[in-house]
This record gives sequence, C-alpha cells and structure tokens, in this order.
Amino acid sequence: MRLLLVLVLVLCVAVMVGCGGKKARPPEDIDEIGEQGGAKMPGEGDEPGATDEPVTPIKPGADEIELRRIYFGYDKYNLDNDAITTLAGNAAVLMDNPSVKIRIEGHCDDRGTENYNLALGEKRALAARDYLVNFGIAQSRISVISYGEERPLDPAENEKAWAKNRRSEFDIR
Amino acid sequence: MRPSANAHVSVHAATHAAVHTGAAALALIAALAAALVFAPAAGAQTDVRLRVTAEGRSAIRIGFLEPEKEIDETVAGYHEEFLGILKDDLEMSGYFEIVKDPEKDEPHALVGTVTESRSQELSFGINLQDRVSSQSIFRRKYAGATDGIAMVAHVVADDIVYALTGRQGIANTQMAFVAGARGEASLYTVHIDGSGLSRITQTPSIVMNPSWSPDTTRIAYVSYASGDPAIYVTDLEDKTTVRFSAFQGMNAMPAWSPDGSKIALTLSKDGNPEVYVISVDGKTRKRLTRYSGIDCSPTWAPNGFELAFTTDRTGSPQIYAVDMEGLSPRRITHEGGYNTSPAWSPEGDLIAYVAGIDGGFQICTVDPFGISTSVLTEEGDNEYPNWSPDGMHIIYSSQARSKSGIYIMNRDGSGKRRIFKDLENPRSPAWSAQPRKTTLEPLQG
Repeated sequence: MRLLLVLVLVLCVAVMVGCGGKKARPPEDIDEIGEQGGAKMPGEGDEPGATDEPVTPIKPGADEIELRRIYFGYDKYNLDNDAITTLAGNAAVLMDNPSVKIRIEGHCDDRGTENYNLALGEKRALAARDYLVNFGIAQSRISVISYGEERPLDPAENEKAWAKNRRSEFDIR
Repeated sequence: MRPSANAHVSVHAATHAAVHTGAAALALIAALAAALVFAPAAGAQTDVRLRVTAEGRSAIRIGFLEPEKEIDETVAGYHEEFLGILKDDLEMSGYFEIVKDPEKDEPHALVGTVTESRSQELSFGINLQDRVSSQSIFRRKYAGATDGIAMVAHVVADDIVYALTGRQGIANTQMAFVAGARGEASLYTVHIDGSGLSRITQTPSIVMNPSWSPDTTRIAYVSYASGDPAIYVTDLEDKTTVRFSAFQGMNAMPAWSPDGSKIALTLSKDGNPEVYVISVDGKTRKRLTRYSGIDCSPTWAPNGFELAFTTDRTGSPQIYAVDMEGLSPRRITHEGGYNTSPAWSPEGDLIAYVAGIDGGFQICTVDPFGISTSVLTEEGDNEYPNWSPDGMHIIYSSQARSKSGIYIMNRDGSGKRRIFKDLENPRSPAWSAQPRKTTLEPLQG
C-alpha cells in the first residue's frame, strides 16, 4: 500500500514536470492545417477552445522531446512544404537524441475504401520515414505502421476533420 | 454453434419415387429457360442460365401445395419452421418467386411437402413437380433432428435450385465478417440465413479482410492484436490459429487462391505496398508487382491465372490485372479517378470494385477486359464487394447514414437488402464457398 502511494506521488511529479516543460511551446492551431501559409506565431494558438494537442505525447521518463505530426492532401502521400518543414524539425530533434527510437503511424480520413486507405496510410508513414532516413537518421531507429482510417483524430464528417485525420504521427518508443 | 455441413441430414430415396431421367429434367430446364430468359439473340435455347430480371423478380414461379397427408399436430410446428426456412432460402437464391396461390397463379413448378415423426427424427418428404405435366421432377425424403431443421431446409433448397437450374445453391453457405467498434472489433461467422453466429477472434483489436479457404475449413484475416498488423489463419474445425504473415510493415488483404494452395496478400516489407503470393505451407513466396507507389488488394481470377489488384501507378487508384509471373500488368478500369477493392466473380465474367463517384463510393462491375462497366449502388459509401459462390449475388458493406451495415444484392444491382443487424457496425463481409456439391442423381425406382 505504501509502495503504491510512493508510486502515485512519483507519477504526479513526473506529470507536473512534463506539463511545465510543454508550456514553452504553444499548441499548434489545428484549424490551419491544410491551408497555405499556415505557420502560426507563438502564442496565437492559445485562444480558448483550442484544446487539440497535436504534439506527440511525451513518454514519461524519456528525455523531453517533441515530434510533430505532418498532414497530407486527400488521397495523397507526397510531402508538401509544410510537411517538409515539420519533418526537418523532427529530424533535428532525432539527431540530437540518438537513443530515441520512433514508430511512424500513417492515418487517413474515412473516405474511400478501408483497404486502399490501409495502403495509403502505409505510404504516408513511409514517406516520412524515407525523408528522415535521407536526412541521416538510421532506418533501424524507425518502424512504421498504418492504421488506415481506424484511428481518426476527429470523427466528424467535414473538411476540417478530414484534414486533421490525414496525417503521420511520430510515436516515441 | 457452427453446425458442420449435413451433420444431421440424410437423404433417403423414397421407395415410391417416380421414375425420372436426366433427360426429362433437362428438357424441363430448357423449356423454362426458353420461356423466361430474355434471350438477346437467336439460338439462345441452348443457354440454360437463368438470370433475375432487372426488377429483381424471380424467373421461376414456385407454388407450395397443401401437405399430401395430414400433418400430425406433434410435428406441425416443425413443419411450419421447415417451410418458412425453405421458402426464405428459395427466394434468397434469386431464381424463384414463391406464388401465393398454387392453383390460380400458374406457377412453373409445385412443391409438395409432408413432415412426419420417425423414431427420434423428423422426416421431410419433398415432391417437386412440373405443374403443367404434373410429372415429378424429384421425390425424396430428408431426415433431420428437431434442432437441425434449418440444415435440412438448406439442403432441400439447394436440391430444388439444382434440379431446376442446374446450378449450385447457396443456402448452405456462410459469411465471415468483422463487427464492433473501430479498434475493438472481432471476426465472426454466420450462416447466410442469419443463424449460427460464431465469434472467431477473442481479443478485440483492429480486424480486417477475412478470406475463406475454398474448402471453407479455414479463414485468413488481418489482426493488430499483437500491436502490429499480421495475417492469421484460423482453422474453424479444431479452433487453432497460426500466424501466417508478420513481416515488417503492412501484412494485409489476404486472398485465398481458388485451388486452396496459395494466399495472395499485400506486404510493404520491401519499402512500399506490393502484391505477393505465398504458398499456404509458407515455403514459397513470390512478388508480383514492382512499382514505387501503391499496389494492393489482390483478388484471384477463378482459373488462378491472374490476380486483379489496385494500383496508383497512373497517379490515381485503378484496377489492373497481373499474371502469376508478375509480367506486364494490364489496366482494367479507365473511368474516374478512384477505383479500388476488386473482387473477381466466381464465374470469371465480372470484377466488382469500388468507384469514387460524385463524392460517394459505389459498387460497380466491369468485365475483365475493361470494356463495359455498371454502377450497382446509388448512395452513401459502399465497399468490400464480395461474391456469392454461385456468382448470382454481391455482398458489401455500406456506410449510408442510419442504414450502415452489410447488404446483399443481385449481380445486376437489383434486390438490395440489409442483413445481420444484430451487431455493432458489421463490415468487411466474405462469402464462403458452397461446402458440399449438390449432385442429385435422378432417382430410379
């Protein structure tokens, strides 16, 4: 029982440290995804209601690093300029943290067939992997998985939700 | 409960069976075909293939006669149950219309039935007759236990289909499908009449793409239960499961070959999704596609010579076919910018697929040469087309609002109806082959 209490306390501290660290970087405004020139100034995403947190959750105990999601056009798996900018940032973080291994998840919106979306999600994950490998990240540090349309961020059926769901995520292992 | 085929069914040749020759039966079939098929060309008399009409009405009218002798009250309930299932099966087959009044509605064929109790078993007597000549087409007795009435009815239905059309029926077939919330789904099997639901996978997970072995004893499918996608094969008889394919990356869309010896599938282990064929014993593996984009969703031609698949090598997903050497893939679909999920018909004459049309996704068919296409659904998002083993029906999933579920339609798109409404979000249906061949030797007696 006492052991459990200690464990809970340790976890609480860990969570608090984690939250404190995140403040340095504002959440990205998800509404801008898919639009041209959507780069936001720091602080702009802090308006009330911006509850989406696009940053990959930090693994407790791991070095605090952030890897950002990238987004894709409908039925596309090529990297657009926004995606490349984000990936370059992710690559730099991975270069600075050579012990970190990641799994890249590829996701789709739910239009089209589950089968094709599974392949499309795989290509979205692989596109991100190939960029990182070309950047100099060892392929052995990266695995990929496609979830197709199985794990939408936003289950709504509209353009905004679909844009959010067409993405690759970077899961620290 | 998954009854093994015909476990409690036995067929007894009736000692008083009318003499009946194959030639007479064929003459009847030919006569019906000539009368009913909308023959597009002269000389079609030799074509005994019957098709449902565009309105979804059945081509052959069947009337049920009153029992030849009084049904004992101890078995009257079983008799009604048997008749109900038999009529449902006959209507489902797509060949028949059950008429209300066998006297006035001028059916083509008549069915006489009698149900009796016989030492622990029930006996169902069937007399199928040509109404005009009153000649018996076949007359026999079927035995079954009181808890196996549906199975007997399915056998009788398939025998009637075979006797009147020369084709294998589907009353005894099953469907595998996925149901449950996204990420917490399970694989199920159920008889095509909706009975005998059986859960196959026990760990809720992402589950997709069931594919039956041709002998209906095993199902290959995708599961993420281990955390990564892998293809598993479950033996339905001894309830064992083996991991068939678990390469790095995607292992998806298994398709069992018509001869049962191989499984086509999609793997990304070489850097992007490609179509492979792996022998069921795992000993040989062959890559059939070579393209840096997407190649996926293989489906076998019934002769096993080719696979149709989806590829975006022209910039948008289209259906192609490739031979077993992987040489010179040929393009099949040309219209539209989104054609995926092909399913080759068991007769080989059509490929069903999903086309993106006006923001929706519709089930279509195209001949294997890519000459003529038909759009079979009109609304909503439809996917996973899959053929009945007789090639008469297409089963598919639909995400139409409030009407989501699994649907069956005739091969021309008529007669759509939703089936299996019991479980949450049923999808990814796969129709089993016919577990037994109907032969129905003409009875000599």
